[in-house]
Amino acid sequence: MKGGIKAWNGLKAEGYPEVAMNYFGAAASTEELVVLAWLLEEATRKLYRNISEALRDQSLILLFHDLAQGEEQHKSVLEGLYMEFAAGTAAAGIEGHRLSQSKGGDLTEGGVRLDEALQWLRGRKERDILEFAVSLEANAYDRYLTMWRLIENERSKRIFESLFRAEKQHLERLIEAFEGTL
Amino acid sequence: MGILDYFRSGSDWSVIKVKEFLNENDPDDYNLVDVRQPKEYESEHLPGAKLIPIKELPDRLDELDPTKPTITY
Repeated sequence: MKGGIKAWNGLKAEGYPEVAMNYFGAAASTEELVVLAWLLEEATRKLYRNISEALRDQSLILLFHDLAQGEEQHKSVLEGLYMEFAAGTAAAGIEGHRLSQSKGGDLTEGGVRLDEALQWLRGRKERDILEFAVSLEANAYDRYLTMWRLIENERSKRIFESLFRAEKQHLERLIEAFEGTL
Repeated sequence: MGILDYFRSGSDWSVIKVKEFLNENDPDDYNLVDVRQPKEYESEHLPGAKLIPIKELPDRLDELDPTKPTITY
């Protein structure tokens, strides 16, 4: 690419996406990978719901409301995968799984803790909030895509493929909104 | 197969062309490689880019699919 990354005016991610392996390393099975991914989606849904409740601009309120709904849909996809992979062996659904109880859903999909994100966002301008959300989704996309590439198990790959494709759609909406503030 | 086989038809693509390519193609259909140093990659990189510092490239070619276009930066 001519000019290298200095010339790049598109999306950027930061950190090593392989750190996602540390988080997902807690999974002892494909079903547990799904649970861990579901927890990330749930924390991100809460984040976007909080943001939508704190904004004043109607179009942005709607955007973050839709993003929160989008994370809810991602959760539904994961719940479907969980039931498929567990094949009737799971006594409880995802919310009753031991990982849900212990991890508690405090990490968002971009790798930022929910409480820290909410703390940082207090009093921020709308443009900063959008920029933060773009960064979060870019990192989530980066991590899920990397996991998809690294994992060999076909069932596990399906999980991350569905996630990175979904994050790309969120990114497109956020970038459009962010560019509207420039 | 040597390193040159990966870059046989290489040419400098503009940022616009790279963006269009990444938007229009599935991540499974290309190699996107960051050839800088780890700290630079950690600071920022294109989402989905694989880090292979330039000096390591000859020894890590097997990590790339030679049948797919390879974009480096």
